Amino acid sequence: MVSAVIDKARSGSFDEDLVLVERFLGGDTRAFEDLYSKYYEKVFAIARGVLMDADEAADAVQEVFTLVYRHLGRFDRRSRFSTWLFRVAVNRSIQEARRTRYRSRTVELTEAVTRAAPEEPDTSDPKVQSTMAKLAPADRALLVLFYWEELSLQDIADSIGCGVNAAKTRLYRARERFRVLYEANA
Amino acid sequence: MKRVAPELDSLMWTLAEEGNERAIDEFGLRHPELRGDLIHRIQMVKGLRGAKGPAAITSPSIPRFVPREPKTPPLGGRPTFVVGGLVLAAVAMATFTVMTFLTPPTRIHKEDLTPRGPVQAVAPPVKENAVVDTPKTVPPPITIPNTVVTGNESEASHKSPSLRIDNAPLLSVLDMMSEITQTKIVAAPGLTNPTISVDYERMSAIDMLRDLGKRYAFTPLDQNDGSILVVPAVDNSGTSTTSDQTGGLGTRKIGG
Repeated sequence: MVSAVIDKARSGSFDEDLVLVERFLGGDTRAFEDLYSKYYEKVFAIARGVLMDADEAADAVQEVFTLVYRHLGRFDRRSRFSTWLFRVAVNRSIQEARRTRYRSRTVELTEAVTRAAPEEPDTSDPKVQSTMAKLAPADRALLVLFYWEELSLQDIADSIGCGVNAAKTRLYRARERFRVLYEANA
Repeated sequence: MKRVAPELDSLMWTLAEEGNERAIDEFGLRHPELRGDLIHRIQMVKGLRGAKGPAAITSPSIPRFVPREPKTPPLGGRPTFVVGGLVLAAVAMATFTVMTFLTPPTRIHKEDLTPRGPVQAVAPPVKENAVVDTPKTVPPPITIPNTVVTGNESEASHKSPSLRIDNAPLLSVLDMMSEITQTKIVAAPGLTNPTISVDYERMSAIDMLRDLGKRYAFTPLDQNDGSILVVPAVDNSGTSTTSDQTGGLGTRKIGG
């Protein structure tokens, strides 16, 4: 465990997250709170993008961090902690979205945004929101990781558990599906 | 929608995502027909990126993390299927075991493996050329339990089968013998038709007829063409192939 941190440090890519992970696994619960605070918004954005609902996203974030809290020992340190965390977040969000896929998303989306942030102006394009709502959860996850989190193709591949070329192909197809629906909305 | 060449399509996405205005202008000059499509993509990418805004806005404060209890899968989930499958397998195994112990072992007899022939048959009709004293009463059914001819027996066995018949007219017995031994048996006019019983084990037709001839006063004559002529006469020597062997015409009693 510690040797992994030392190896990373020697290789010049010191990973602060890895130190926090090791501290948490050593019994320091405050280290996990630091990880939680650092990545809450990113995980929330992913869940929000996939689920298209703020309340469900907030609930999913708690689920994701609970999973990480209980199973952090399974993190094999071959990838960065953030990539591993995003993978858990994507899988959990897609799973939750499939469970509730038959709900009428478009109406709930508008209501949820209005209810959650009544005093903030919504500057987003409603056409984009309605188009996203029509996509499959897996496609939404890809677009969120690429356009919202601006992850590299390698990180996206790690986050969805496939190779770089497969991630590129899936992303291209998701974008094409989005474009077709977006133009149909025009 | 216009079909765009793959390389141009890829280039347009790159331009839309990178937002380099100079490169976008140059592309528009080179491909004026695709300018509108490119602008559309730029707007779409901007819209996609801008959609992140509300997601961040809706969660201004980070709630305190409290680990939750792990969610138990609802009834009917994968574990239920696994348990159900195991229960079914156990029931099937138990049923098989019980049935195996309760059912007595089946013994296979040798005779069960051979196909069964007819055990009872009605005597065939008497031939028209055979002038006999046909009994007025209907003859009893003929039982031929040992005339089974199996499919894998040799040709020789066909010619030397077993024959057992009780209380049947002689002519009917000859017909049955002819059928079983695959030998043409011709009864000469004047042959009597008493009710007889026979029991022969693996004998040829000529041997059966010789034995019968001694008992019922007729002589079998092998015609050497696959047929046997049965004449109402007695050949005490038992030989029957030629007239000389029968002792001449004087010893033959041709009925009439």
